[in-house]
Amino acid sequence: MAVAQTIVRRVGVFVLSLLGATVVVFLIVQALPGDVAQATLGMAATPEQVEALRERWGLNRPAWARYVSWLGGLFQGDLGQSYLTGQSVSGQIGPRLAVTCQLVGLSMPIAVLASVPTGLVAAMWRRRWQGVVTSALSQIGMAAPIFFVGIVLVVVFAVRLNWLPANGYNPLLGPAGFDLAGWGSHLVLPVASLVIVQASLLSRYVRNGFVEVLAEDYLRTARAVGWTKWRALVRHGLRNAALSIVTVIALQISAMLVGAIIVEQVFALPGLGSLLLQAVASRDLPVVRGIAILLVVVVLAISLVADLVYVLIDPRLRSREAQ
Amino acid sequence: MRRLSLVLGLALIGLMVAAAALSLVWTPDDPYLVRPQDRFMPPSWSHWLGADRMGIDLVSRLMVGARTTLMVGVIAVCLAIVVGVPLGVISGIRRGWPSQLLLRISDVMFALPALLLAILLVAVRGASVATATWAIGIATVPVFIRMAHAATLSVMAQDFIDAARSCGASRSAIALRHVLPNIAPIVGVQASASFSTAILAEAGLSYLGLAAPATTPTWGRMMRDGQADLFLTAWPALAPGCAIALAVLGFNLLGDGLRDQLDPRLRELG
Amino acid sequence: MSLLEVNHLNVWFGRGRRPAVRDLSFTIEPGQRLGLIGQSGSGKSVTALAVMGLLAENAQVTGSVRFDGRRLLGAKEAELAQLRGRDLTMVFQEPMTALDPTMKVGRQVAEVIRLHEESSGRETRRRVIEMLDRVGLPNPGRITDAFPHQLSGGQRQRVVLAMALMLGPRLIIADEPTTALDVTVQAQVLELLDAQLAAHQAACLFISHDLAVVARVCQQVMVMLDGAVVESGPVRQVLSQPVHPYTQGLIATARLDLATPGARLPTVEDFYAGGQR
Repeated sequence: MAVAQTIVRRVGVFVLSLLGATVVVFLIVQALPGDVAQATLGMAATPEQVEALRERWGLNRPAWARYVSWLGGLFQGDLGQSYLTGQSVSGQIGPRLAVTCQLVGLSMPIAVLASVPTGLVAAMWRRRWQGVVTSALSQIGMAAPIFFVGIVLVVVFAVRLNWLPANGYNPLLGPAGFDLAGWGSHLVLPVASLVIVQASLLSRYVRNGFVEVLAEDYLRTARAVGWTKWRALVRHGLRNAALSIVTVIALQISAMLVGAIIVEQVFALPGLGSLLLQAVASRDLPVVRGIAILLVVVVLAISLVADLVYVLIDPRLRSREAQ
Repeated sequence: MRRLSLVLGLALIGLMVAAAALSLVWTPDDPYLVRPQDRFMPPSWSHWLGADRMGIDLVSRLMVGARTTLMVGVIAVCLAIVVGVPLGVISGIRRGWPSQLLLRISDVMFALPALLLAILLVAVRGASVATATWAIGIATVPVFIRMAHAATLSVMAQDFIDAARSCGASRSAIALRHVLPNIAPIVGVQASASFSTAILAEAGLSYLGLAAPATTPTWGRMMRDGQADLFLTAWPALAPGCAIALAVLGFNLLGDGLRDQLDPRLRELG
Repeated sequence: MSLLEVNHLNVWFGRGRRPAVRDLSFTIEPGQRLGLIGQSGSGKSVTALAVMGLLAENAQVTGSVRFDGRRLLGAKEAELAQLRGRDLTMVFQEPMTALDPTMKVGRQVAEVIRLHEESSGRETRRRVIEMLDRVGLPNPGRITDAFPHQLSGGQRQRVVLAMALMLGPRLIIADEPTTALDVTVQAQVLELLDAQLAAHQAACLFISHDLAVVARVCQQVMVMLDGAVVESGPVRQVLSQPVHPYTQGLIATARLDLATPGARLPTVEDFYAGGQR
């Protein structure tokens, strides 16, 4: 019962946050000073031309009316039409989303899998050189901007060694048929960039999670009844460290999406990020708004999932919620 | 050993501030002067880190670029502190529905990454350093609201607050005399961490071409320009990248060092 | 042969610091109960952890610790892990944090069995419930499926005792097992520990700062001060004819029946100036 109640409450908060997010995105894009029609046509345009464009894009209606119709469209999966091409925004987003999903979908699990053992080593041997080196490497990985990591990888593996392509994208099912090698070779460096930066950050949180657990009395109890140090840490530590790690991973998804936007730029991948930047350059606001709201929805949805997972792992939370 | 991160962090930041300050009066070469004959020159005595595609000295441009990086960081973080901390403290002391609403809004804003917010603002207002700074500052506000709120709650739960109350202290007196001094160190640690986030965000925006115009030397922009010539020379792209990484590392280490000083119990957490 | 033999044990944390334990030697015979008394920081807990091999990594240890003739100090972690829980075990001071908050208590007790013996799931559960019953937990069938936060401090300490007693160890190290509990619960848990030790004929190293508690459980007592033993012997003798001024102070402060109403109570410093360093 308690769990069901908690889930209902969290989902309610999620829906409210979502509504709030639509308001924020709408306000930023539509209600801030700056006349889009004027900016699009340039200073040379006559007032009549500007007026006609405003009319066509529906900019003359009051803001709340535009918001309501946009929100209504959102619920039906309609993100509006591009100012530039007149195409539907969702139609433009679709194929780009697929590329970004491949990028993030490959990187996130690899980053998580890499960060757990490195964090464990860094925590367990934090006073020996192995742990110090691991921690130092993760500090460097956290400090380097993702495009710097990407460029270094390009310099090493594309320019010097000439093993991998420097940029571009090759669909898995392209005109030449099924092309696993081409697809993979173009994704190795972008995925590696995201993994290096994310795993550095995650492993630090994993390490801190484990260090906290190491100081816990129950770990000593476990060892007093016969667990070896490592097995006690894996058995009891992993469960407890997982609590903090789940939260961090959820927060990191948004960093990952932002990272993907930049990585797509570094490697000229035709993903959501490059579409967003094109749209910004041409002031195609419906597209900008559509991508922004999509990203925010993903971030909120993931933090909802993390909340629910959290409730499931931590028995204390489960019963606290019930009170 | 334990002070290492503090000392190293301060040294890196000091180096950066010194380079930025020095660039106001002196640079090895004119950071805007095009010398076609020096195009893509590798590091040498005349150009310590080489020259870019325009033949402009890279060290000079990096020094001037440090100014933008520092300025954006300082303004954005100050904005976030000035707005975020009071809101967080007030919502921690007065727990009515306005506070709840504020926290919910900041949660929603929290879901909007700084870079995405900046891209949205740039889409509407056009690319400029000012827009980028505003965007990074606004996106950092909820971080400080949440942090200050949580810290205030834990201070308010302590006995000396009840003691002050029983002596007749008003809410504002409690906020100013007890809460603020107690949360100030945590704000400092967070400011250091947020500074490195701000540097990364600014560099990212510049790299994407969404902050400074091409004529203004910023580290991110220099990398964007340098990347086009990677197959000819890597220096123009890598040198500013190292500068960004060192600056971020400096503020991260400073934050860690401050936290260690603040709470010895946390020293183990690196 | 003695069950536990500690010879010239020295422990210190970090170079140049004062040692936490200095040249400590003692033995415990099978079934014997030895009390270890001293104020906080005197090195009692460090001694216990050194015997168990559970000291933090930065601790440096010299001397020798033998259990049943086997060297414990310097033994491999895997070898120690086999002994721990089965032959020697430890009960800690703080029951609120001694149990893993994410695991049902029954499972935590069951793990002790599964670590050291082959046992079917049903058999294990039966033994766990039986053990929880023996340590005086009401409704053990339900407690086994409870999480630690759903139990009171006294109940948790009983669970920790159940874990310690599960396999009938020959030596139990109890580090202030009742200090964190309410006074009434303290007496119950002490009684339980006393009865179980007698039933298993287990030896015990009982650490406390409370003379009365030690007098109740133990036959022998050692008094520790600043990392070294200042006095030891049979409990009755040490209590009736204390030699070291620090021990005299400890006893005087505990004898409230001798205090005059309205007069100043005695402190350890009245007897031993270095007591509160």
